[in-house]
Amino acid sequence: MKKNGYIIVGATGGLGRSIIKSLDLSKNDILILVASSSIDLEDLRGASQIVNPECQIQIYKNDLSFLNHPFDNIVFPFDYPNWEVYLVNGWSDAKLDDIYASESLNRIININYASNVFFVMECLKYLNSSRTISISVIGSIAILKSRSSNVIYTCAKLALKSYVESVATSLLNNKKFKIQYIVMGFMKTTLNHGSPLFLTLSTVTAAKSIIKALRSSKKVVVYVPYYWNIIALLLKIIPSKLLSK
Amino acid sequence: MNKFLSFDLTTEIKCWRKEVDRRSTLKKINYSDGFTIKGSGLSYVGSFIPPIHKGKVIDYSPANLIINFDETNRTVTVLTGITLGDLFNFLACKGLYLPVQPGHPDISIGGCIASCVHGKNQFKDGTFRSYVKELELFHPKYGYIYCDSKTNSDIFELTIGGYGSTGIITKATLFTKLISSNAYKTDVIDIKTIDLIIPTMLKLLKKPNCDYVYGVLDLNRSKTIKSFLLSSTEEAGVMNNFDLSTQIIKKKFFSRSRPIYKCLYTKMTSSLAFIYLFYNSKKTKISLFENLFPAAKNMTYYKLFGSSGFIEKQLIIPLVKFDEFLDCLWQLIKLSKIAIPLCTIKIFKKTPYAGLLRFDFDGVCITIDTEKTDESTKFFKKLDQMALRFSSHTCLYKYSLSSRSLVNQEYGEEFLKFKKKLSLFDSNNIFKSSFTDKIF
Repeated sequence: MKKNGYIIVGATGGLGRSIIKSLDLSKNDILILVASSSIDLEDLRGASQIVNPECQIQIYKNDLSFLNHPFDNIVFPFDYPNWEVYLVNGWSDAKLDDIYASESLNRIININYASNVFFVMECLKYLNSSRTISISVIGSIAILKSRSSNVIYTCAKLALKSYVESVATSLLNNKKFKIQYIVMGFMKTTLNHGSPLFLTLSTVTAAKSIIKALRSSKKVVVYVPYYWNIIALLLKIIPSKLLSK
Repeated sequence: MNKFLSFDLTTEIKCWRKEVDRRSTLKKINYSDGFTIKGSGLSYVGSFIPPIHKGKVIDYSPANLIINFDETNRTVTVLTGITLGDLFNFLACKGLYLPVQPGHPDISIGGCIASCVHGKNQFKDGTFRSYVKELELFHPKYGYIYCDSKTNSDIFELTIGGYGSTGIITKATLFTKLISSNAYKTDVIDIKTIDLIIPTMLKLLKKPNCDYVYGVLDLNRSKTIKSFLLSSTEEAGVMNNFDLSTQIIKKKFFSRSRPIYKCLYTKMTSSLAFIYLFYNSKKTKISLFENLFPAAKNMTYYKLFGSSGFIEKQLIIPLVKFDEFLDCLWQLIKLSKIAIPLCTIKIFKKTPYAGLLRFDFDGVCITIDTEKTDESTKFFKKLDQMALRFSSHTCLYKYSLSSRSLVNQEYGEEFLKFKKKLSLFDSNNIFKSSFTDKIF
């Protein structure tokens, strides 16, 4: 039977949990979960193991705020030929992130940008003719238009998009490698609970769309849900002055 | 800001809510202003509602994972935001269930522990305390506390039935029971004279296949009290046509909002509802799910109370004093001229875990529902005083008119013991709600 490996970075968040639920894991598969809290990881391992009792589940506690080779502790099992990687990690703090000062500058950049770059680099080390690696990097619609809040967060996500596009271009002819940047629309999560957001998506629906895109879409930049594609176009046309009002 | 409304519609407040879907988040919150803990938000008296306007609430309902299942010992470990319905879905597929369940599948496990709830057959199954093996509590002063009947036993006992005042119940391991049958038969037994109701109930409860028995009383008539018994018995063997998979919950049942119409219950419609229930419940075959969660199908009953909401008082009267109490109650209802849409009785048996503020005593448990009006408030105040003469104990988590003095008079030394233990554990009283603020 075909063996598949799945890695989810930022696994304990709402979207990470929904991706785990939506993956059709079989008994030979391996699931590697990475997050910053060991107790949450233990809970998630327990919950995932109940649903998939024969699947091998490994957990790694990595605090992505610090960039001292954040993924050194993860070892890819070599006998798994197919890997799907979901980089769901993200963090923002609107109160501490404007043009004047960002007290959490390092943390925002590390979690939202640098850690992802490190991880993709780590994956590339394992790339060979007998292994397929597909990576989904979760971005944000914050990149669609510059704003006065979440400044560094937006920069980090935009830089990440640029990095993903560069990697995709560099490895365009490699049929064993795929990387995708998801421009993620508003989601109902505990982080944005109570915020006046429109067109919000449940994490389960978003997870299904992300998995489907990684498995079937050839695009490097994918909008989830799809209609953010149209909204992105409109946002480009509308002058910033109007939006700021 | 969110508007929170208690299930009985008597308490309403605007507050700030923080959703928490994992245990580690709890450590990152600043608790200096005090917090109220919310599970599903279906508490009758609004145990999840903060004591002050714009108070802060930790909503733990998104933390709803089943994190361990021990097939050998038949225990399940969950994050306590999980609902009874979701847990039922999981356990039923393994041939197991939780015997003590309040009637609604959307109630969270955390809520069941915090209130130490009882099910339809307390006489046979005890209270929720009997099914809690161990739990984990989070309190900002102590961090995560593991407790069971041996380790930190004082905190364990204080938390089960502590109305969320000891901290956030993050994780719990529960004992489960084997499903012996997945189909039940409900029967209606007409009671000719009211004095026969308790002996008949006791007789039925002794039958091995009896799941529960409760009496339904019509107290709205002026000449006599009409009553019948509703019993549920297990059908022999496992019924193929009652496949468990058909009982899986398809959607969330109900969201509480205030209706715009007035109460539709009068003395006459209440009596008609009694007759309807009598004829409609005769020899019905129901599934385990319907047997455990009758309220899921009967939410209309609560909605018909209209915009003013309702008051429910549930109290235990010692067996020997019940007949006299019932007579006094009936006289009181006749004098106050209020309609009682539903009055039920059950037999309770004190468990080894009784004590503190748990609703766990020997006697007859009587439940009275009315529309919330000035008249009914006066009625309940009179009933409180009258019931004290019969050594009554009120179920605190259902009665919105509970007061410190009532709890003091009814629970006496156990109440003082609870308060003393709580102040030793948390002198700052970080976790409080409008409900605990009123009674502690």
